[in-house]
Amino acid sequence: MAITMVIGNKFQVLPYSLFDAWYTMAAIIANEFTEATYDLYVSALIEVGLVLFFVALIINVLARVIVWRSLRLVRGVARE
Amino acid sequence: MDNYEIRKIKDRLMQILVCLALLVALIPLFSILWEVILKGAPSINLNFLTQPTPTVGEVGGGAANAIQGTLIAVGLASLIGVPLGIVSGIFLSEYSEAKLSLAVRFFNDVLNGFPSIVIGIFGYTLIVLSIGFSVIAAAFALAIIMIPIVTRTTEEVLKLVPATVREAAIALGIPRWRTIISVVLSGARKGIATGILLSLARIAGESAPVLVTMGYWRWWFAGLDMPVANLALNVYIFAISPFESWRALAWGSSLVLILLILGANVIVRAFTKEKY
Repeated sequence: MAITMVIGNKFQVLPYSLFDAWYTMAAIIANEFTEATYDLYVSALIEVGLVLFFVALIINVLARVIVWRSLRLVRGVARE
Repeated sequence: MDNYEIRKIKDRLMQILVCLALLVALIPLFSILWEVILKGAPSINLNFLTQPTPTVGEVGGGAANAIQGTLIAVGLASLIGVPLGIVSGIFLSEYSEAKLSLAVRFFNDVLNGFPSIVIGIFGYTLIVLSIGFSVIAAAFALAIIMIPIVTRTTEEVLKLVPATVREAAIALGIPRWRTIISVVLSGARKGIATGILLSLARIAGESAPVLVTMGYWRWWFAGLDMPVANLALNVYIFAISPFESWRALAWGSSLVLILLILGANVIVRAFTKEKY
């Protein structure tokens, strides 16, 4: 929501500049959810939510792998 | 000797860099507080605290309904979220030998870093589609945001209670569940209260799940199956509105939101003060 207020909410296939207005997935849902009047529209927005879910999941799994690896490294050193 | 001097200088340099980084990290915090107090304070008066949201063109008006609505939504959410969070925290800390706890801990972390709007959509599909936009739906979504935070802090705090205390209780013949409730939980009271406060502060400031599950509402509380106004959502709606007086309301609402969280902090800390 905080990003929705400042990012500019502009659809672009390929943003050309960091100083240009962009859009984020969360901002799309926040902006359009109240306008979604028919089922397909709502479903499309929920689909965006599903993609966001997978992004969050993948990042968390990666973080867990990093923690797990460094833990194993520490334990391995301690054993030697 | 020469090498030693260089290392000392390096150490000094690093110290200065760390202090500078701390300052840079603190600047946003204080500049936000300063800005909100400076712009929010002028719009807070008796009208602001007693009148509901103004209609377009109406002079005056306030955010009293939003304060009421935020208190109701956050209160309902903590009725659902706090017990669930504490119980799963107890499970993770006290019964951590269970195989399930690895999975619970992982998914708890996933949920903790979740985009709040996705949780809002979850609340929408589960509750709004059956009973409509309502406080219940919003409280449900907010409770889901709350649970991982409470769980995490409860688990960490319970782990700090020394094992010897548990063993002493069990040695006296006290059953395990009774030990957890009377000895472990009461020993970790303060830490659990901190966790609850953290989650309260987080959900009081959430606007995305509120927008999706109950939408914008200009009136007073009208029943649990109806929406209520919300401070955080008011800030969002008013801040991007074209009217000067509405933007003033947004600043005032931000300040009230910060003061509410601060007030809750002070009250809970006073109640959970250690007696000894």
